[in-house]
Amino acid sequence: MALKDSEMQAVSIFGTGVLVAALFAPVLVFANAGSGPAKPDNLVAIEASIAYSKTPQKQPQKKIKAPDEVKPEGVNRDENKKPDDKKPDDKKDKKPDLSDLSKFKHSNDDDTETGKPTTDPGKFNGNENGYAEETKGDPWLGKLRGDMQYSPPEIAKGNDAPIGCIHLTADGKIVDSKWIKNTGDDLQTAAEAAIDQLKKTRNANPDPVPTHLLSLTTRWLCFKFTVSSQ
Amino acid sequence: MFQVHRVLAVAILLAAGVASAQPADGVVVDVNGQKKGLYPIATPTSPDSDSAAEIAKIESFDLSVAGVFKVLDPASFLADLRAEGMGLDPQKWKDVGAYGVIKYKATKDDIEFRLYEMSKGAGPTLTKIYKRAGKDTRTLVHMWCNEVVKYYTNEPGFFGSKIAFTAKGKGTSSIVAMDFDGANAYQVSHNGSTNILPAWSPTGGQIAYTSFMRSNPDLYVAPAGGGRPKKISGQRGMNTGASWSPDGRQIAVTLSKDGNPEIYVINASDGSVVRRITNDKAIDTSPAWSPDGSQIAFVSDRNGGPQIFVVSASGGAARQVSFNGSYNTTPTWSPKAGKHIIAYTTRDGGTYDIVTLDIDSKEMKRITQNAGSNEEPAFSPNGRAIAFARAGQGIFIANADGTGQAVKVWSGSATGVDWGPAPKE
Repeated sequence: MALKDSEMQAVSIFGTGVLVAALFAPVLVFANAGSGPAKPDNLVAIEASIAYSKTPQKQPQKKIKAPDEVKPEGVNRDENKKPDDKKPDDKKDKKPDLSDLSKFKHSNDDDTETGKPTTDPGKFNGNENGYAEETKGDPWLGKLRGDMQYSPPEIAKGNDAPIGCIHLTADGKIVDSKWIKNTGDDLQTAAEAAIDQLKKTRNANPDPVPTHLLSLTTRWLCFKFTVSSQ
Repeated sequence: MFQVHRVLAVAILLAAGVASAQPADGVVVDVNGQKKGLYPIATPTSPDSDSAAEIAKIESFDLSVAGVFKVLDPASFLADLRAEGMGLDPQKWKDVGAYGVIKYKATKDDIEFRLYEMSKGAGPTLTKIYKRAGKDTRTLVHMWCNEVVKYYTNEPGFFGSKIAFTAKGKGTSSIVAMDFDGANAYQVSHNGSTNILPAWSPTGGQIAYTSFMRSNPDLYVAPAGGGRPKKISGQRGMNTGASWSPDGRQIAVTLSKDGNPEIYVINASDGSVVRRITNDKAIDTSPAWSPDGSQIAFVSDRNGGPQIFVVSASGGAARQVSFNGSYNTTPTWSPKAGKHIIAYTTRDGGTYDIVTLDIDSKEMKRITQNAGSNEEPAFSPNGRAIAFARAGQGIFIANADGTGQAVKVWSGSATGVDWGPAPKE
């Protein structure tokens, strides 16, 4: 009786399995033979409570900002890097012909204005607050929060958390703000100072809103100012 | 069943409360900050008051050394002070970064002070009128500034308190006391000998100090205003480094009557020995009684160089608490309730600096650095500031949290600084 190909394959796989089991089973059995739980008689007890290392106190230092590292210009620190084949002034020898660039111009390839969004997010709706949940934790928003430098003085009075909102434009500027919860205490003053700081920073150096966050520009973006204990 | 309904009702009310604090869409970005740094406060000079400049100067100095305020530069003010008078436009002060503003109006009869908080609008949150009634302007301004500190911190201020120290002369040294800001200095000891290590009694009525007026370094107690000193301890050898118990009945002192300097507790009234605290062949000196009366810190070289140790005020085994460097001396306790913080002099390289150590958390803070040789610290009565002597320069005050710059309050050669109790209200 002749076996079909598929039958032969099945038989050979089964045979290989049996062979492997036969070869490795004794090895596993003998390897584990001596690895049972250790008998207490063979153990050495160390009293850990007396085995501590005393770390000497160090002289405290006032906080002094280290100077920024100055990297030498034009020096590559990769020791494996090969020198460039091209001499620095190679390009000077091959000046492009700039006499007629009009042939390269397309009808609409002018650069967009700096900070201008590439996607139209829609108009600002002053009746809407908040932002999309999925944008929470976005690094751009994190930097926005950081730019507020919110830090009430140590003796600031107040326990409640003010809530304030800003109207962001797509180019990253802040054109308006409002308070939807004014706590009327020092924390409110600190929060107002934080929003003012943000306006100064972002209106002087706008950081355009990334495309995926453009929905923030269609509504009030609101912040809750909380305080953590030291 | 009624119970379930009540729980549900409470839950609904709570949910409604939370929802009302949220914007319409219910989502806000949390901005979490940490309370730290100084409180910006403005102390503008009143445009038409008696002794207006003097009041503003004293007020500004007091608040700047209080340890919690940042006094704003008057050059930055935008408000029209004459038009504002005793009122103010909060926005104009917010715009210069002020959280608080103090206005005052002084006449020859009284001084009225008003504290405004920018968050509270255009109405004052604290107002006081002080009748002059023979009191000088400085005293009245100190009283007001104490009110301001208490309003913000619930702690008494130290304005109006006094500092005692040893002023060095040619071949002699005398005990001098002065207001904390260096004003009204006067001599406590009136002999031509060497007088050192003054220590205020807890009530501020007396000062103990060691004098060589009878050749031996004996311990005397004199009225704080000056006057005839009374010898309290004249044991053979050293009678030095007095530190009063919080109740004022006893004094911890270094005696070497048996040959080796040891720490003892003596009666403040007659100097009789109550108990011996240390008994070690090493040198034990500079006792400092903790504010709760339970412990005494002192300096000992029993483990090598001089280090700070702490022992129970009733005696027993001492434990070393300073481990930084090889030379630490002159401990003093912070009066902060519930804390166990000491300040002391540490040698760092060739100079001496002031550090604080929280004995429980082991956290250390540096109070001075790269500014001369500093020694013999003393905490202000509320623990917010530290006074110390800077060699060859005088006496300085610094924030006890290590922030800011130290301010000189007395010029001259001084040592042995001790800060008296809070002024009586």
